[in-house]
Order: sequence, then structure tokens, then C-alpha cells
Amino acid sequence: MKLKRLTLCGLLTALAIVLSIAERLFPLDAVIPVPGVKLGLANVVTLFALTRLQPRDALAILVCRVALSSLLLGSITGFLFSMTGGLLSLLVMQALLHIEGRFCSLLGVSVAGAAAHNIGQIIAAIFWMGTGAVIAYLPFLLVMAVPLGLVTGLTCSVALSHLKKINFSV
Amino acid sequence: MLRRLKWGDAVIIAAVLLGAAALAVVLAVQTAGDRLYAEVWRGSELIERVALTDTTEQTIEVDGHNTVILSGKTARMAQADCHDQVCVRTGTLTHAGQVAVCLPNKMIVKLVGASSEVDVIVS
Repeated sequence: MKLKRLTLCGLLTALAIVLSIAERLFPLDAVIPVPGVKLGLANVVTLFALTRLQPRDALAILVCRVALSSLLLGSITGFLFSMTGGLLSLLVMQALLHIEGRFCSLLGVSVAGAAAHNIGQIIAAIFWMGTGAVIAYLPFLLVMAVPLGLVTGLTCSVALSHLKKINFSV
Repeated sequence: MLRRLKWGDAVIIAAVLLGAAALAVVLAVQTAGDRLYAEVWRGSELIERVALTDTTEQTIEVDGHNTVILSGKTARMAQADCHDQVCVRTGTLTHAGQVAVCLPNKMIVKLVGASSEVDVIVS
């Protein structure tokens, strides 16, 4: 059982890294010139791990994914922003998953997670730049978090309902 | 997709949008004023503050890394030696509150408004 969980964690980490690389093919920040705008496909993996595995597994996958994908494609700043955003997003989604089902769906959890990711990114950027001026981007990022969060939430939700059909469990 | 949504999702989405709107309003109020200034920052250090008028024509170079062009009541990051070029693609800033940020070089160009009264210095 433990081995199965470990294997799944490794598989999900690999998937998250591939998704991070794949979304580079759709460079959203080329169309919208705001630093840090991206689809956030790797968030599907975090959300999936939170719903199907333990929170600590999701945390391990997140940390490994951010560290490895920053090494593969990014920079120190990218690592800093993704890690802060990712951790805040994970915290918020984990908290909201307690009321998921009765109060809201995975889509709402995902939107809140996307918004939390943006807030985390901006907090990291404020420390990095040493000035609060970057907060000017936050309203725009939050508006974008709604459609992007819905897309990732829907993807995760569809994946989970397919896995239910084949009686997948950990 | 609509079939999957619950009422709580609407609350979450509304909260995110309201937060964005509230923040936008606060930022707009803070930077409002009848005079327009361009500010160039390197991290927390203010390098240049230029009052913009219709006849302003000025080029500011910062450490050879970034070039800012002020023209009339607008400002833009004309050149940057970083790899992402996000600040250059931001384009021309025309309104108070707008910013162009170069994260790799820790450079910021922003337009701020100010009321006339605080700008009169009698010496």
C-alpha cells in the first residue's frame, strides 16, 4: 500500500513537471504582458493529490515539482514566486476541501486556489523587489484567476469522475 | 460545467472578483491627482521622478540594463536586457497607477498622480 502511494506520488510529480513544460507552449504572458500570468495546469495535480492522497503527499509533490521545473526551465525568481504561490494555494485549497461537496465544488476550490497562488506570487514579488508597487498587478491577476481556476478545476473534476468509473483507489 | 457548480462556487468567484475590484479602487484613489509623474525605481530606491507635461521628452538609462523613454504624458520601458521582456511588452503607460515591472533587473517604471498643493515648495 505504501509502495503504491509512493509510486503514485512520483508519477504525479512527473506529470506536474510535464504540464509545467507543456504550458510553456501557450505563453499567456506573451499575449497579456503581466509577469507570472500562466495557465497553472500543474495545479490540477496539486488538487488531485489533495483529494486522493494525504495533504503531506500533495505538499511533497508540490515542492518537488517546483524545485525540478525551476531547475529545468526557470530561474531563481521563478522558483521563489512559484513556491510561495504554490504553498499558499495548497493551504487554501486544503482548507476549502473540508466544505467541498456540501458547500462548493472542486471548481470553486480551484478558483480560490488560483487566487491564493496569485496573492502568494505578489507577496514574493514585493519582498523580491523591495517595494509594494507590484501590487498594481494583483487586481488583474485575480480577475484572470476566475477563468483559469475554472479550467483547472474542471480538468481535475473530469479526471476524478473517470477514475471513479475504473474503481481507482489508493 | 454549470451542472457541477454549487452556490458556494458563486460565493468564492464573487469574493475573488470583489477583492480585485476593491483593490483596484484603492490603488486608483491612492495614485489620483491632477499632476502626473513618472517614477523609476530600482528595488526600493527611487532613481528618477519626473513631472510629465505635454512637452516632456526624456530618455533615462538605468545601469545600462534598462532604457525608459518619457514622451509627453506617457512613459515606456523601451529596452531591457532581461530574457523575458515582459516590461517592454507592457507597452506605453498613459494613466496614473500603471506600472511596468522588470523582475529580473528589479526595475519599476510607474506613473503616479499627485495633487498640486504638495508639489509647491517655497524656498
